Amino acid sequence: MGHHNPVRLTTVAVSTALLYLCTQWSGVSERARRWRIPEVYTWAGSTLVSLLAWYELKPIGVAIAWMLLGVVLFEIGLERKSTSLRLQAYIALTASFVRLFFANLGEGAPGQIAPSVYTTLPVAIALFYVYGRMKSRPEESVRVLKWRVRAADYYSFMGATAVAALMRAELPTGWVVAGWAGLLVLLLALAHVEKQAAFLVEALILGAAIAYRAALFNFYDRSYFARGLFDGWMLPVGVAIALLFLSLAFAFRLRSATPLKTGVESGRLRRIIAGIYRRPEQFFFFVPVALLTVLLKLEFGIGMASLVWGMEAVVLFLFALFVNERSYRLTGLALLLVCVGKIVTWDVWQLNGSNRYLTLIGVGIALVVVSTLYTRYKDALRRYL
Amino acid sequence: MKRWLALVLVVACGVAAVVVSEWRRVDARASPAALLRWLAGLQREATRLPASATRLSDADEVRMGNEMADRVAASFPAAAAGSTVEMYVQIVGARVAAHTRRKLTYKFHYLPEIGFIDAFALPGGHVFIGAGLISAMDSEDELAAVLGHEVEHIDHYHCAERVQVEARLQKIPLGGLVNLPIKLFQAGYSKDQELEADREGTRLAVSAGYSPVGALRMFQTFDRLFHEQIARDRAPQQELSRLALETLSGYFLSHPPPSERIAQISAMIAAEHWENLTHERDLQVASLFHRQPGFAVPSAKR
Repeated sequence: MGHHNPVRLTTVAVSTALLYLCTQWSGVSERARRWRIPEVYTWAGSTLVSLLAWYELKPIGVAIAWMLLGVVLFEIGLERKSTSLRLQAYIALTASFVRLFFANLGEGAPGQIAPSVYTTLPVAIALFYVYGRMKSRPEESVRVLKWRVRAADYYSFMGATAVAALMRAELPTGWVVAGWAGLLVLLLALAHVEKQAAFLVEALILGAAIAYRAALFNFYDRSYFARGLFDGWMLPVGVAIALLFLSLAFAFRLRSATPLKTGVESGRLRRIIAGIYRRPEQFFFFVPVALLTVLLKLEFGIGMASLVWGMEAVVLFLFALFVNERSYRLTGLALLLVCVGKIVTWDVWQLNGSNRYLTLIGVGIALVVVSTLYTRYKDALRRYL
Repeated sequence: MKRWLALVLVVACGVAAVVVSEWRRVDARASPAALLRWLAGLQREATRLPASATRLSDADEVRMGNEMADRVAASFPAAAAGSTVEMYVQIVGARVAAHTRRKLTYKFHYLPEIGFIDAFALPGGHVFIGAGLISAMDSEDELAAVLGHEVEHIDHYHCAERVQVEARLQKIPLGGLVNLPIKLFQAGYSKDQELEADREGTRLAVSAGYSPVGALRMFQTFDRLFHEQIARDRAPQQELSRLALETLSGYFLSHPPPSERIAQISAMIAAEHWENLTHERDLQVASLFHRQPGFAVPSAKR
């Protein structure tokens, strides 16, 4: 540890301790308090600790040291009801989060647990801890309600971003979507259990990120000469799709728990965002359905797409009956119609013998199944229309 | 009680992480490389779909590449055409390129600048390698790995895509693309493209009868050179200004760290059962580099 300097460590540590101690004595006189002298001492002490960490630790450890400083200052700030100490804590925590992207998330060491994992996770945990502490102190929130609520959510966002970025850095590139989908399910579960809207918003943003990465990276950024069915790029998308469908279990419960806020509905974009926020089960259904549809086309080719889309349409239709969701059912029907249209306009003329028969038989069976279900559940379906 | 337990856990995790990072002596310095790679990846993801839909024809790519190659040759005063090293590079290159997917006419060029420790590919099939890089090798298998890597940048349309992206960003018509700066092709590609070229280039070299150990040792040399460059910043403000400068200047410098490239090739050797392919051929032009006055061959040992 060649960067250690015992003289520097000792002198700065003693000076810092004295500065913090001085806050006790300097606040005795009324004039000193009015001029905020104790706060000046704490700011000076915190700055010295931050610099000492930079000089004494390896670059990868500095973010954690700043995080520790932030957590300690935050706790003392809450205990003593000191806005100044909490402000220092927020700055230290934010600096720690930003530094992760420059000093921690790029470092990998093959064959062992990567330093980025054991240095980023503690920071993420600390950010969630601060979020939890800020949320669990309603009296703190009441005083400056709007700012406090936003600050707490801000730390929750930073925590989730740190975990998502860690996955982006450490998982094999194709598997990032699957990792993010796992995190999304966790966030939705937290949103449901904790009744915190911040987690739902994070999950929605992550859902959009999954859609972007799966569509533009896994589907179209892979090698032009990719090998075989469900190779290293497509299997992770399959896992991500399965996890997104799993997330519907929480999304349905969040539908009623997230009332629409007034004032959000002005403007088309805001109305769309508010709609997604109010009905998250729509977003978490249509994203995996769109991904699955493209995935099936890419894996089976345009020739066999009608057959597999027909099967997908039947499954979607059955799922719609199970959850009583009109938009889902219409999606299944629309997909089936696309299959019929494609058969008439393309498959009949372009496909070779066996593929043509398979497609016609497969989509024919799908149509029979759907029409049978329609006949059987006619009354129930009429109620949802 | 619960709150204190959570606080103790957070602090304990943090302290443990600091202790482990100090104990393991993780010497990575702060760098915007990871962030830049992600941004470059995002840009690439957004452009790949339209690029594959509006692909340059092979004929256009070859014509453009030929004109660019002429410009490169003109910019290097010490002519190398017909030299022993160039002929040797062409023989090894032709062997490696025999198993490419795209059947282009690959041409290999030698740039006799001892300070040029690099290799790069141009669209259409031109591969250039500098004297500085060859002098850092001590086996033909290493040369095959480097040439294979560059050939795969062409084979997998990485060069062609760069042309397309630049054409769109700079709004240049097809005819004007030959004037694109050559530095664009020397700067490296996205992390995934580089790893793909490593992987497929090694596969090409092995198909041509070379040992994958050549690729492994080449990356070990890069790793050594990479770590020699790392120096700790002396003050926070120095780190801050360096980060700002690297962030602004290093957008396209997105080669993955050598440790990651070594890990990939090691995993590939195990997966493909190439463990027995350890015999390497001598670099037949090594003696030419040893005789050059004032130049010492870097100490890359087997």
